[in-house]
Amino acid sequence: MGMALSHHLQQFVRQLKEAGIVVDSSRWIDCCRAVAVVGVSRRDDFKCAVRATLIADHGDYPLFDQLFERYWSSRASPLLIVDQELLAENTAALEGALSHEPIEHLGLENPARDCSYSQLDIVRRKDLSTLSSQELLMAQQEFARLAKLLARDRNRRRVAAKKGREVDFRKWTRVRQGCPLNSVIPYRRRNRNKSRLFVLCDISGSMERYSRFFLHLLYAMGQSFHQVSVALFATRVEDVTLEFGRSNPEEFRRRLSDEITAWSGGTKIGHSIDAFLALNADRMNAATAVTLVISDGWDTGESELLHRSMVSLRRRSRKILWLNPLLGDSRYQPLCRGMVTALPFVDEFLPAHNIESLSTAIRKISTLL
Amino acid sequence: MNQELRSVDVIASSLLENGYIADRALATTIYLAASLEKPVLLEGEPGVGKTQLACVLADVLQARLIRLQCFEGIDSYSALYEWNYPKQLMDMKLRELQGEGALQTLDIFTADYLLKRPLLDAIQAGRDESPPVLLIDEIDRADEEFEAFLLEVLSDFQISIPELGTVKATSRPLVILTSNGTRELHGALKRRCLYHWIDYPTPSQELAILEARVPGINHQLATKVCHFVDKLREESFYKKPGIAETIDWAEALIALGIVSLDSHLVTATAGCLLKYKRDLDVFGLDKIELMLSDLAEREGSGEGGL
Repeated sequence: MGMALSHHLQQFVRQLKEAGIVVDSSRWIDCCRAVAVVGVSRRDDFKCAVRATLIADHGDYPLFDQLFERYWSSRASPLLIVDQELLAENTAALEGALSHEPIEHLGLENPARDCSYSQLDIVRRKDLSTLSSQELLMAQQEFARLAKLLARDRNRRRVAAKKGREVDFRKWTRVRQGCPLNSVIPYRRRNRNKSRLFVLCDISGSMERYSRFFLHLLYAMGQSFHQVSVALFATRVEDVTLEFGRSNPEEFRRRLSDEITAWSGGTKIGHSIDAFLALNADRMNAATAVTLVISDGWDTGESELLHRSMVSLRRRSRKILWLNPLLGDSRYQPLCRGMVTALPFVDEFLPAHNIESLSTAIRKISTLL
Repeated sequence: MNQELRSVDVIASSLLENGYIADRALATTIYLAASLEKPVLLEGEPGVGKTQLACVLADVLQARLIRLQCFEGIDSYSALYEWNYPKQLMDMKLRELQGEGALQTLDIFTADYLLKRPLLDAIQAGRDESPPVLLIDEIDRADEEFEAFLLEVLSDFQISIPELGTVKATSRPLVILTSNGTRELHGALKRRCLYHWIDYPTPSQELAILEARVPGINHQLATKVCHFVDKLREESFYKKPGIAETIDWAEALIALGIVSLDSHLVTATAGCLLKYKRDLDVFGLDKIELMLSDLAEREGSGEGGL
């Protein structure tokens, strides 16, 4: 009977894996140990033991609950008659066996690794507007991974310096233990990365197909890199940097989607850039600011205003990058009025229609920061 | 294992006796942590009582609470140990004044010059007293390098100080990590721990907490307060009120001698519940009135009863 329960647990773990929850063999062993300790006499304790060891994300709780109810209610008998000692013995034996067994035989690998290289590759090349929900999940993981490229050391870490205000005591006492006091005093200073990233993302009607992906990307960037300011614009500008405090990107997107539909009705790029500059007046200066504009360039405002605002933006940024999803099409020519006006001021004009082009863009940004 | 942790029921009742209202799932997770000697990772919104749990557990086990508060840029030295540089330099200077020979015999890397930080304290604590409760608070504020370092320490519970040797724990402390969920923690750290999400309490749980923490509170008022805050948490505020905010609000209402809620009163005391201007701006009179009338309706139809 003990073996039967551990077999059922293995089956259950397979179901979790198929549903997209990542479970590796060490978690499964912990699960068996936990069940051996807690027992199966109380269903809620059993469920808690399984959940605490297999699930490590609050977002997976509802799915786990659903799968748990579905699996264990139809197999009530193993819960009723299990010899706990037998289970504990079997767990020990299993642990021993598993340490020698290759992971493939258990079928417990990371589902992302299950994708053959070509499938992931295909998704990376697919135009963002054509991705399914399942592929969106992969895109999100990719964005999170890319965004880490932007992460930099925190302010408190120190690096060696020739002179400064802070003495490096740790180094000093080790220089020559015999007589360190007469040696040159080593200093240290903050490893400050001064660059700030400013992002302006177009979420008007023409960008609708792409905006939800960009929001995921911006969310990932905001999580990894603290010195980023993000604003969304269509006919007006809204600073959304504080929204990154939310841990769930879907909630972040949902919160903003109501506001987005209220703004549809054209794009005023020039006006938005001006308002954005006014919002960030205190933080944006030419020495440290890197500006990223994500837009297709369709502008319903005045081109004279756009020209003036691009001049101001140029004066306040070290580099301006423009990401345009339309560039993904090889036949595209930047002929629309907005794009033509803005292009002379842009340092890097990059496509942003699929994951691959976005990863190139992010790598470029990380080299600039 | 400590007698206080011998079963889920005992843990649940001990927590309750010490004023911590917890559901059985949390008690089970603590039981597993003690039995399997694994750390627990508690995640949840700010203000749900994650840190409080560690304090209460320390009381229950009559053990010391060792707290490591994580911050942005925390490194292994702040967590493990630091040498007392001023003392070292002072002693070296004093010896130097006594003459060249005296300085050579001074060893500045001994236990006298070692400043113990929380992790080393936790490792060494088990020897003379009962195993402590180690609280690693707000681990999501630290960075990935610190997580990797922590993983190493939590795996073996031993560290090696180059000048002094290896220090090994004689008995493992109960380790509780808390996170506000502001960023995704590293998979390896999560794998090492048992995971539990602490949600906001239900109105009946919050009522029990309120009556325990604010003794003598009017039952009707407490019920209304809990239901109102529960409804408030359904709104999408930037920062939803936590349990501490509910207690603060209840105490404020008592101080003002209020027994029933109306929209003007709620607006006047909203600062107890919401701490961001953008949230207070959204929390207008008409919204409050709507919420209060909804609650009155529910109460009238019997749904809102606890």
